[in-house]
Amino acid sequence: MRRPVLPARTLVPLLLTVFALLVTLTNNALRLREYRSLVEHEQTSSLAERLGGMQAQLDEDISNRNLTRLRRSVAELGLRPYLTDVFLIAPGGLVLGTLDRAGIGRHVSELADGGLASALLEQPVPMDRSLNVTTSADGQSVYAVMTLVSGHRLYARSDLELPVAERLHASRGELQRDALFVLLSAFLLALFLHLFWFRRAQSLAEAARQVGEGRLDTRLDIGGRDELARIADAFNDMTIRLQAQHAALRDSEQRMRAVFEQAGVGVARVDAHTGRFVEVNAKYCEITGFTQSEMLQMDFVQLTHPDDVAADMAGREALRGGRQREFQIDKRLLHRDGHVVWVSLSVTPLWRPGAAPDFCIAVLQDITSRRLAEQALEHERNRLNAAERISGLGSWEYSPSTRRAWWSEQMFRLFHLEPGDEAPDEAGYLALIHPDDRDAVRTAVREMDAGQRISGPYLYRTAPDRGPVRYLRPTAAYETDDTGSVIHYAGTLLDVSHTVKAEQALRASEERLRATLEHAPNVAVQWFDREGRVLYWNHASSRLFGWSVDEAMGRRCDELMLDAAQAQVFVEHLRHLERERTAFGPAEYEVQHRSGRTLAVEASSFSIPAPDGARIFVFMAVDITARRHAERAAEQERTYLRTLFAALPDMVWVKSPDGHFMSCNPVFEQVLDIREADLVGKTDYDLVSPEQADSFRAHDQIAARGGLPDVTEEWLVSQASGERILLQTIKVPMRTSNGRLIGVLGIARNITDLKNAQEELRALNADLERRVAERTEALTSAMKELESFSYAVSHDLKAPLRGIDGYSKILLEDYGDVLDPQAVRFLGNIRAGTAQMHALIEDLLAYSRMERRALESQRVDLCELVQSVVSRRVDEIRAAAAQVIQQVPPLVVRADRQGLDLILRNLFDNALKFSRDAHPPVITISAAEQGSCIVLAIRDNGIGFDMKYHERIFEIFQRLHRVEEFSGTGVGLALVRKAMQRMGGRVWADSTPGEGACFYLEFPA
Amino acid sequence: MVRLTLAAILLIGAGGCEAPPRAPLTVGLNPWIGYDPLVFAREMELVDRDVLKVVELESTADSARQLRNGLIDAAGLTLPEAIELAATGTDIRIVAILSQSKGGDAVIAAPHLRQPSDLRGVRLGLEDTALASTMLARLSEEGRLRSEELTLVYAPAVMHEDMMRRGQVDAVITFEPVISRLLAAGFSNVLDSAHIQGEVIDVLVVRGEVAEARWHDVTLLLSAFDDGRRALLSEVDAAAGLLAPGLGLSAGEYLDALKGIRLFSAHESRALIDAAPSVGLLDLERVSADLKAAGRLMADPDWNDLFDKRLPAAAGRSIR
Repeated sequence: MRRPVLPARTLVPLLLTVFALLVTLTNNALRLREYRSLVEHEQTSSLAERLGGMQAQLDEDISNRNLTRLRRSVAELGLRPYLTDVFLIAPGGLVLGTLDRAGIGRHVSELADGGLASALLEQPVPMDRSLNVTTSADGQSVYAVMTLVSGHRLYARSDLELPVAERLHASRGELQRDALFVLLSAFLLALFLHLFWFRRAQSLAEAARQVGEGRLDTRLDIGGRDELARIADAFNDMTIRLQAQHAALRDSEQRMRAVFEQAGVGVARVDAHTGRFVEVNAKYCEITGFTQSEMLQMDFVQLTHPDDVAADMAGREALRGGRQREFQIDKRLLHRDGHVVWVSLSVTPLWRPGAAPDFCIAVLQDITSRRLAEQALEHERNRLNAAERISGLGSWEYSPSTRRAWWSEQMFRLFHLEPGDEAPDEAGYLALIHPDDRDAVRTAVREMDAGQRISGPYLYRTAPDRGPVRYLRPTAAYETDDTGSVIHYAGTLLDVSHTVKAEQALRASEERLRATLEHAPNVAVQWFDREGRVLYWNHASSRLFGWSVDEAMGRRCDELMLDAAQAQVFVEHLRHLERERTAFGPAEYEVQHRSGRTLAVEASSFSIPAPDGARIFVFMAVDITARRHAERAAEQERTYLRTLFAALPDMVWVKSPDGHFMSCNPVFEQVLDIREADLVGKTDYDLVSPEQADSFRAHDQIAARGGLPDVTEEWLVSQASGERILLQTIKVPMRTSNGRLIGVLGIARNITDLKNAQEELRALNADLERRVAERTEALTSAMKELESFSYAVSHDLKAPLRGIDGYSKILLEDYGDVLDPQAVRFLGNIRAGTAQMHALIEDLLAYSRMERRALESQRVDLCELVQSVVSRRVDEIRAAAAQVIQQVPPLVVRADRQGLDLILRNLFDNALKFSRDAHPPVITISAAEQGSCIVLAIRDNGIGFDMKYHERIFEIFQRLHRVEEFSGTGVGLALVRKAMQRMGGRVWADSTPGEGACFYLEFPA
Repeated sequence: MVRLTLAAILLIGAGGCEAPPRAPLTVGLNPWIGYDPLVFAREMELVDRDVLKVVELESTADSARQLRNGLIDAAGLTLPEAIELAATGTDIRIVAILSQSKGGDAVIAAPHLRQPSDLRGVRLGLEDTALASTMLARLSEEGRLRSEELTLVYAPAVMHEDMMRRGQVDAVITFEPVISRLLAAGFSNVLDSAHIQGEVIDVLVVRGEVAEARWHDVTLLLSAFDDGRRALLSEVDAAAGLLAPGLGLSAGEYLDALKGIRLFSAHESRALIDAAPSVGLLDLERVSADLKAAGRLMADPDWNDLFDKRLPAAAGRSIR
């Protein structure tokens, strides 16, 4: 963050002045914007009124070819202030009148100079002899284009810059007053701040500077009770405390010096850059053998054993680079007499983090004897590790009190870990164990934690995600204290993977054989001894006979599945097998289910040797009961179908996929006069003409390919009666369950009578539709004529009305000083009347346009459109002090955007108008989805109306109030209803007199 | 701080002291060729349109009314109209004598009416202006016509040609360029201003408060007329080609009409104004008498107030 470059006593007044200037400039900019809007409105209205007033006269002069007067009329427009360009253009482009005489008689293309005149002449020409007034994109001009009779056009441009400048200049006094007021206010405020704040703040700053120079006895008195005075008091307190702390610091330094000199370890202060000793204590000299003065001439590299210099330098480099805040190493020193001294060195920087390195503190401890002991221990440990690796035996120790374990290197290898790692904690150790064995191992670990004897496990596996799974056999011993509590566990882990895997391979082979028998899904396998007792009973046997494995084992076959006689035969069969040593079957048998139900099975039997030399008899059976039942059901179904076939009143037949008849019913026999026995094997070509047979065959193939019923109507001559009949034929493909086509079923119904009745009805409808179309066309034509008439009448009324209005205004402006007050009042009445009539005509035109115009169905966001309508009524809302509540979610309807905009404007204006006497007027606009529709509601708290007038208010020219009470033409709501009807929606209202009204618009979704 | 605030105040004060935006000085002219130097100066861009705006009006009656109502600042009027306007109490100043009609105003009649006495009993079209009244007085004198022997139809000059062609009137008191168009169509010249002294002088009139407040712009207006006059007379064919179509004339007709008009230079104008009211060319006494006789004037205006003699002869520098 950048600090201010100026003191506050300068910066604050400067900022106040800049702020005051900004306020003044903003005020001026806003005023300019307001004036520009006002002037634009005035000039637009003025231009529209002036040109509108001239239209009738110009039309007349054009019709009479009075070119002189046309030229004068146009030239006279120069009287209007700010009007800069006017062109009256004939249809061929000939200029009939301008403000400049030189332009008259030239072609319009010669006037296009690329400047303002070109911009004016490029304005779009309105249709239907109307006037179009627009503002230029840069806001500097107002353009007006008016179409006249016979395709003549009048273009006019009015300047906006000059009137804006005049208006701005007229209000300069007010702007200056505002600006001076703001500036003087800023000046007074700045003066106040200077006298009562910044001067005292300067004293405070001066006192702070003195303290900074070390004058801690500085005291401050600036008076007052404000924040500055409180800061001054705090400042005085601070200097008192600083003085006390300064004295305490001196004492502390003396104490620290004594500790340094008499410390039991070597302490030295070393230059971080050069490595030279700056200060050393007596112990440091004792360890190195050098005197203090000698030490101060040396650096640490000279003292360090050459093999350890690199590590020491790296540590100090890390300190200087800020990557470490201290480092510690064991290293060798070269004693003054030449022998090596092992020391533990800790180095700590004295500079703050981020600051430039200066000095370090080095603390030295002699560890020579400890290092020798550690080397001997390491030798012993290597030998033990070699023994463990060869035997696959890992050893471990565990202390329950510290919950720390020690592992030999082989222990790490057993778990696929790198030797040398720290033994894992409980969670880490369990993660190394096979998931299935973790619970058992966890129990053992908990027992050790509790100082108990270990109950198991005797074998467990390593986790498969660590590497090949190993089988480990643990042993453990423990030591107890005097109270019998376990204080130490020691044990081993032996890798027995090879042994365990051999056992598992053998067991798996046996399991596979047993599983094959157990899980054969439909083959019930039983073993019997020669007396018919069950020796083996698989799950399929349990499902087939209803006896579980446990229930069946050891029982005789007559208890389980055969009656006594069958059992006797069965035992004899076993004897036969024992003698012959051959296999028997498959053969079908009837056996008993446990529930007494008879089952049909297909079985094979043979014998195999038992371990004791006797024979075991294997009996393998398959249940065929369901197959038997299905065969019987199919036979029944065939019988039903043949009966149905025979009873149907329609012709029914079945053909093979290649078109040969396979079957038919009696009606078919009757119509085609052929017996079913004779029909089978024949084709359509044997029964009807080749053309008709081709058609029948084609429909067969359509039905066969499509997979859906093929429905056709076909004429056929009955072979029996000779009568020509119309058949409605349905052909359906017949497929097996796997989708193979096995034939085509045909059903034909005689619809000759039904067809005749339909033909009569169709002729009747056609006649009726023709008459309706004729009448609709006549009605549409009449409606169009009526619409055209009303549009033309309304539109042609506008031109003379503008003339009346324009001339009355000219009378008031140019002759106002010679008219008496009553004449002026009458003129005012005339203008009010024309304004009312203008509004009426505009409404009628809008109504007519709504009837004539082609509506566009488009996606319209209701929320956005409502917002747009309301924002365009901001001035009216403010003038009426009304509250507008919008509760319209972002719903989208399909409607004509322009038409919907017109509807919302009318309803909103109505709500504003009829709630003007409410305090305050409140207008609520809401919308919601209701079923498949979207309903928008506009509610006001105005005067409302009696619901008996509900239909009347939507009719054209119907008003419930006098014009003096509420202005209006009586067209608005009629227009709303017409627009909603054309958009496929509807409008209705709900109201109570004196309690406001709510108008609803319903849009189809 | 104090310096900064004072600087801001001075800055704002200075912003408020700038000159107000001023609308151009608007001068209204009726379609009379004697005023065309100003029109030509405008078309040739010899004037700055932000300073001077030339508006062509339908008639001198329009010019007088708009001058009175303040819609224009200056106007070209005939001398009788200027006198009539001043006599009604309108504060105006004559700042220049622009032209003299030597046939530029005339009584034009149907082809069979050749002289003033032939007009007895006819319908006579004319503008309701002082000049038309004096021309009517001259016509009555010349033809020995009594007032009840003429049916007067008042209409602006722009309608005169149309009324004659349709036969709505038998004769009109009118002026160029209508005269040239009617003569070209075969109508006859019964009486023209070449025979009348004084009344057919055209002057440049400025509203009194404008003459006081915008004297610099008025001098620029006089310079514009003089610049336009010189340009028109030096390039008369080009001027005719440019200006005639707007008046409904051919270039030849325009040049013929121009011959019936004398355009005064700035020096000549100055000399005439300096000599007023006792200057023969203006013949103020006779004009005043005619106006009184026609009932358009009750008393003479103050001649010394009417003629503004403060302006120098070579009025101002060129405004281009």
